[in-house]
Amino acid sequence: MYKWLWQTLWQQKTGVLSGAGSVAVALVLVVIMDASFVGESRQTIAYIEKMRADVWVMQHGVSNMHMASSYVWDWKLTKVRQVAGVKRATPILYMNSVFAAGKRNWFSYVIGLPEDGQRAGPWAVSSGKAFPARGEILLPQVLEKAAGIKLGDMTRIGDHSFRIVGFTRDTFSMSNSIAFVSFDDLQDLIAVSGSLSYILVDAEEGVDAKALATRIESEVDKVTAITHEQFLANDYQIGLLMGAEVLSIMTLIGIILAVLIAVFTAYLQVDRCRRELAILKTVGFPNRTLYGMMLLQSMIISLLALIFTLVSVFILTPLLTALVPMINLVLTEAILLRVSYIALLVSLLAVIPPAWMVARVDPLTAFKV
Amino acid sequence: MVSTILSASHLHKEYGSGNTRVVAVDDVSMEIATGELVLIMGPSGSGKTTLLSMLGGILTPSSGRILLAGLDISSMNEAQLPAIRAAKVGFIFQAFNLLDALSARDNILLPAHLMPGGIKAAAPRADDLIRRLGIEKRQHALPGTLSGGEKQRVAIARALINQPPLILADEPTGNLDSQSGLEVMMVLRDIARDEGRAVILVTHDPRVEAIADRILWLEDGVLRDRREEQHQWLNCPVCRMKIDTWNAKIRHRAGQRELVFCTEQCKQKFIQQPERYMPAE
Repeated sequence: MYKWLWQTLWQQKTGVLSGAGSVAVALVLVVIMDASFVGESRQTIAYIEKMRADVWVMQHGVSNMHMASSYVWDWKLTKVRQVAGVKRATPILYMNSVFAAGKRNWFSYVIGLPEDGQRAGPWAVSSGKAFPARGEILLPQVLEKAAGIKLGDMTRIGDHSFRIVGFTRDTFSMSNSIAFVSFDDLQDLIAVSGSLSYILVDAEEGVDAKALATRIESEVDKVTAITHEQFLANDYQIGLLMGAEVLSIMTLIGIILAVLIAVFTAYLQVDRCRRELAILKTVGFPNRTLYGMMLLQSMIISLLALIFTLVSVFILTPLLTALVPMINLVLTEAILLRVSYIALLVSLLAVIPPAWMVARVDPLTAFKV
Repeated sequence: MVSTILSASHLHKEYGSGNTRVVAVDDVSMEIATGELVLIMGPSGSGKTTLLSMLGGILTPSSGRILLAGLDISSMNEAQLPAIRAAKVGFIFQAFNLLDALSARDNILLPAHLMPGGIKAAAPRADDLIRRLGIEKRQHALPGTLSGGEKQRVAIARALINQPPLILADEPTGNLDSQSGLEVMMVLRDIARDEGRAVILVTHDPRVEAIADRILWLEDGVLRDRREEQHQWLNCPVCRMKIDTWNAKIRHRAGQRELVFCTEQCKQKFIQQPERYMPAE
């Protein structure tokens, strides 16, 4: 019985493979959307992740960096440095803004670095200077191609002009990039003085970061001190929340598309086999056996689609990243697991209409010539 | 020992309702014994296939009762009938109805999946049927490569694989050349006589009449026994078309003679000019 199903699928392999391929296209879209979202979300925390400060100190009540603003009086920096267990405390000024490059504006974290703030500066420089002086800016290397800019070009943030003096790596995503300027320039831009945004605290060896954060909060008035892990998690959550709805909608569209294609493929298969199904019914095969075959057929199509999907994404991900550096694609086990669940869901949903058709196949069809 | 394997009483089947109501089978009763080969003949649209479908447990009659091997299949529901069809009935179709993706042997073994023991238990029986039906060399071929006669022999073997007591054949020679048709008829006769199975054949093929134990005539849903002595072919006096006198409905008495006509138009033509059309004595 299952031999018949297998042989029939094999005889109609062009239709089956094109159906599975079409389902795979929808699943690939889901995976790419998911991988892109994870890539973008990870990029939003790239600065925090790369800095790896043991403790982050910020304005009281603030607990993250993405889309946030934090102002701490600069005298609190001295207080933080005096807390036992603090090895080093590096201040940065920070704002969310856009800079002009090429023919468009790019959303960006703008990090203002003090003269001795190399600790908080770019972690990978592809060309030019590694640290900005007044009037200078370091931008992501990706924009060299994407925006057609080069070292020495001018860019603007608000009403301030900056000369591009360096390009950095791993600092760009489509939703967010990181630009480095001098502390004084950013102070002028924001029009604040005597303030800083975050303090990157490195603990002395053997000092527990959580305990140090608690100590800082108790000894320095009106600041929030958070460990690296907590700060990273807070920002990642914010990033996920901001894109979760879009991702859900896109995933849903992908699933619906995959189900529709799978249903259509299964429908065509049943339609082609209508007479043979009538023969099977006449011979004595009960509907439940035929439903089981429809389920198996649907699962075979979905399994093929999943295999096509996995092969495609493993080829496409590095290819897309190489061809379009602006895209950050990150494939995770969770994404692959999710697409497997989706494929299973597709196979289960796609069996309903064919089963409905099978139930309505009239065995008398077998008598027609 | 001869016994009744199939008993149908007062079968009635109608489709639609109101103005669209069609009576396909009307008050048909019949009994078929083991080892009997019964022909059901009749014009197209007379309800033959409907009757066959009811006897085989594919269609449920609107009223009436069918006892197959002692089981009342007319009162069974859709969930119960497939098992009855698998075990008690073998179907043979005009269009052969083999599964294109399976070899001849796999087609033969197909119904065995539904029986205890499955295809493993049925394999020796399949070998025997393949040998008896002379398709050893073609058993691994796909249906698309078989001749019409070979396909029908495969279909017969499939109908017999579960050793059902009743074989229902719908125009089994309809798609075959005369030689293949004759061979298939001989096989069906042997199935009835040698194996003691009841065979019901629906056919238009008059050659089959010679091997039948009984011929039933179905017309307008009503079944009648047709005895050989009532069977006489005459020509319509007007157009010369052959007419079965047993079945003729349009009749006219001309003097001492009763004439039969193919249509009412021919009858009217005769009445207008009887001297022109009156056949010689």
